[in-house]
Amino acid sequence: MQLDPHPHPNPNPNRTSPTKWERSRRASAEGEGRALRLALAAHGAPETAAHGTPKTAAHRTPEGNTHGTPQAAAQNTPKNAPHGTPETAARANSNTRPPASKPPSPAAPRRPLPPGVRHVLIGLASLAIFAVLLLAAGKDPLRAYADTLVYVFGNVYGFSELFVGMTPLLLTAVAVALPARLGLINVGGEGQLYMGAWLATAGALGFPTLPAWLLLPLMTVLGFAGGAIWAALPGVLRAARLVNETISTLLLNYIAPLIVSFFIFGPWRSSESASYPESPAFVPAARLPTLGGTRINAGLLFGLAALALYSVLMRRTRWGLEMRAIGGNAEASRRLGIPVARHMITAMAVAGGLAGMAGMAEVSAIQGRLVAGLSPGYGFMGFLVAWLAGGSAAGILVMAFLFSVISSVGDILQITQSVPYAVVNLLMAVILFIVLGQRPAGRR
Amino acid sequence: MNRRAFLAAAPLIFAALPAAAKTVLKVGAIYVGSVHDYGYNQAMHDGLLAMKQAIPGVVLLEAENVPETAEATRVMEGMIQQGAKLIFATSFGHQQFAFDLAKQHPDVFFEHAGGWMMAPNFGNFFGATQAAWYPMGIAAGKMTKTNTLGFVAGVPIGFVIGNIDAFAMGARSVNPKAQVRVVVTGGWSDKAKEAAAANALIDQGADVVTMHVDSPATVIQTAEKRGVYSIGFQSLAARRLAPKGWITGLGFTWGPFMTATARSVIAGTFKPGFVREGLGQMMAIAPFGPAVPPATRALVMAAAAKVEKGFNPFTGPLTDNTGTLRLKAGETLGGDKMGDLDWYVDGVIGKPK
Amino acid sequence: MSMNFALAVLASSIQSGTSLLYGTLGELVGERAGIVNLGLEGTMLIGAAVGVAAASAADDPYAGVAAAALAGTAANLLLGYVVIGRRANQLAAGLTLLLFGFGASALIGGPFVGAVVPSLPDLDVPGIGGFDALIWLAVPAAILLWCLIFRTRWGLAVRATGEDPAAAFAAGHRPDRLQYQALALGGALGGIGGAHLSLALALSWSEGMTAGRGFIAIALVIFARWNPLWAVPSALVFGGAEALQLQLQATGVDVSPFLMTMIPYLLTLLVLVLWGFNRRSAAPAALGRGFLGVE
Repeated sequence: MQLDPHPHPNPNPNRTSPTKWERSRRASAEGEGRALRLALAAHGAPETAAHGTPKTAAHRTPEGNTHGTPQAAAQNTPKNAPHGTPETAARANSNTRPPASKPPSPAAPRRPLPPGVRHVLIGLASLAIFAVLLLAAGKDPLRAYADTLVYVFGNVYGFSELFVGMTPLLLTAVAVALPARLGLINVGGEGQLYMGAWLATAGALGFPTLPAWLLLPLMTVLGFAGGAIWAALPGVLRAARLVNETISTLLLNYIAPLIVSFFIFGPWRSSESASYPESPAFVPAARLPTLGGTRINAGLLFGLAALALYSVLMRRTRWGLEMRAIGGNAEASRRLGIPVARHMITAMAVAGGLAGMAGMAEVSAIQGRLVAGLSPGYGFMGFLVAWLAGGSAAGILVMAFLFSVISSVGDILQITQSVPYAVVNLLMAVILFIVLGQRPAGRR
Repeated sequence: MNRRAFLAAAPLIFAALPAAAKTVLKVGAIYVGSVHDYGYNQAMHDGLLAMKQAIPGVVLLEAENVPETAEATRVMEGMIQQGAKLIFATSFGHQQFAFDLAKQHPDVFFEHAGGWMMAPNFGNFFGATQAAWYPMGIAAGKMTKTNTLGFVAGVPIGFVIGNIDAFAMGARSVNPKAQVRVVVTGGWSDKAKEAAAANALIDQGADVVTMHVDSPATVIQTAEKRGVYSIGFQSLAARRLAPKGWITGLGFTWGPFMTATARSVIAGTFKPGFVREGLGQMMAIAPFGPAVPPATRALVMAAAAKVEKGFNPFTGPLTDNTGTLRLKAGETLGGDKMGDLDWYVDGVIGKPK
Repeated sequence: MSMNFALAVLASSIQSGTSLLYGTLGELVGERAGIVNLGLEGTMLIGAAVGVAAASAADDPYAGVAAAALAGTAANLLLGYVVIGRRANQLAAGLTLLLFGFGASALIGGPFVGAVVPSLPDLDVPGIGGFDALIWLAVPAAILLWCLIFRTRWGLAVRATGEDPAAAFAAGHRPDRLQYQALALGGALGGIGGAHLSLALALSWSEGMTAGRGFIAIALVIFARWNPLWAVPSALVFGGAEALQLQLQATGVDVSPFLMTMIPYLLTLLVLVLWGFNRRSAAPAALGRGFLGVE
């Protein structure tokens, strides 16, 4: 099935100074840039004198961070300009040209509101926008709020579903946040989830006679492995500086569901229900236990553990420190002897593994078999969660919960008021746009 | 809206919630697609509307576009929370989720379309489509001039293969030279693929095109655009889409079954069953299009009457299209085994995947 | 027979590939200016839905196409405001546009699900065949876009912005304005791509009908090395993979649709790896402003 219409940190790579490879690449691209400048000059535009390496200026982090080479630092001058606009750079670089009549963005930052107040304002703004959208759709917002209170928060099952919905998001969000610390962008959560589900299914189908205490850990490991391998490939390609990981993970997102479909239409086609393409049902030993009458399952524990580990790792371990160093300045880290390539691949692999575990939890706890439309966009949702959270573990927890709430609300309203689920997508998008518009770029 | 105002208004909100009106039964239904698809989902919806009209006091809760994933559980549970006592899970992929919910809610009754699971409060229903395709095949076999018939299939499951086979057998019973070509799109509803598939079949010479996907609309419109005939499936309403090229079609008439089920729930006499009904009960033949001559119409209706009386085209001796004998003389293939079907009869080109 | 088959596949590829081509061209223009629109899928969906709505309202498919172009522009400009005006992360903004597109298109197209819409008629050219107007215009559009990007002053300025916004600014251009313009044009093309799906191929609207084509187009931009001329065969290859497996089925050849659908993606990945060895990137240097890292 296609990217489901119901689906319902700032991984801002702190790019600073160029590595040797980047310099050589820049040289070739600069050649083109130079050609362009010449062409521009030919067309009569004044050429500025002290251009230096303007790309450094353009690529430097909007925070104007100071980790760069002296070259970059010199060009970094107005440091209080958080946006690192080319205008600023141009102003720093050249005196021949006054800034154009109006810089397209404010040079001075607005004073940011304290985070708590900001979140509350966003929450209230969301409620208001939701009301407007509902009114536009001819529905009753007050009734909608009431229904939400009653059916989402006011009853055990509804409340438990919030945690069920949150579980995959926790894992896919960390899968984005972790590589982001190194400056890597992983948009491949979807594919990694599918491959984790696939390999875990292989385990479930291949060892149906094992007892649960053996089979479930095996499946967990396999789920991790499936996602890890799927992410390690882009990691290797990036570490070898062959292919950008954003693109490679994006492409692999397509191939994974096709592999799953191939298997459930072919070698793993359930014979008990030859009438529908899906894998055979998992034996009870292969099913993750759920809590009471709800569907809360061990996947939630995976997610929370992943968050805790992420938080601890990043702040308390040497590995985490090294990764942050790479994110800050890859070249300097390399010179310090940090094995950049190895860390990149490891981070990607771990990230993919976590997403893979989300896949394993889906097939084992929720679905009970491998099916085609496994993920309604959990990978992309995880990206947004991680981004909104700014990469902080607590933020991921909160944001994942919020996304889950919105999703549940959408379901309820669809039933009680025939509000099309599309309104929920729209609501989420509007909130996100507002947050995106708020947050000055570069704030983590 | 600020918080204080909201809190003040809260009691009013709850008071404004409609008091339980004279409701005899709340029925919930989940659909995998849109109820305006001229196809499968619309047919289910029409059946439920008929049920609602037949029994005053029935409240219908519906949710469209419910995917065949764990999301379905959440939606159905929501309906149960709202007081639904009868749930129709109308798409095949909803089965497991509905079944699990049925275990948790022994006082709620479930009817699932197209599956096989059963429980004291969980029943199964579907149309016995295969035999009904036989008269369709006759219509196609008579109308074709190129002797090539095209069939767009969504997912190559046993039931669909059975439809294709019956269609081919019907066509060859009146036109031994007719051949059926099949293209599988891989999903129940991918419109662009369906259009491309229909085009591919027409490129291969098919001048009658039919389908088994959720909505016949795209295939029919593509056929109409290219000037070939079409035969519809799923919903009788599809005829509107092909004013010139429409031959006939099959549609589901779920109304009587759904009404009877609702009545049994109200009366407390619900009995789970594996219900498969065909032409005359859960299925009907659509009116004929303008191009169909009276002689053909008569043939089709005669065959339909035979099917209603129990004619099963899957009667041996029957060989598949590789020459293997599949049914011995006197043997028949019943609806209960149809899910396992994995071979094409003579006249169908290709191998089922 | 095999010539016939080849022609049938070609015709089918052209039909499948056209919406891909428009989407690719749309994304290409924006990326040349340095903006990645990960939400191209959303833009195309909005185009498809608005196309259906407008065509039904005006009972004229061409009105639908025009409206779709405008709607696509609006969608892209929304992204532009967030990314250029508010300096947001391009990838996050793109994914948000994706969500927005799903939601908005479902609401706009909702009343038209399954409805019969006025569809684009085939325009026959004797000797070649009958294709709808958008198909006929597709290759000319690519050529025009190439001329625009590589042979006009505006195109030069846009490319400069994508290479090095500071230099462009210093040379007297307004990078932000150029980026907005590029996005606007790209949005129109993307919207048209969506409209082709709904008004010419599927002949109706259904939720999420682009089925990932927006993302495929993003990959195609890379595959085509950010060159509109190369986008044409690229779109044909991708459209062809889908067409080929369906046509093969119709002839009775047994081929797994999933494996066949995988091929274009694997191909793209392979090509990217091979190019990676070459070290010389064809990407605009400031693409994504650092968010696409070192490509």
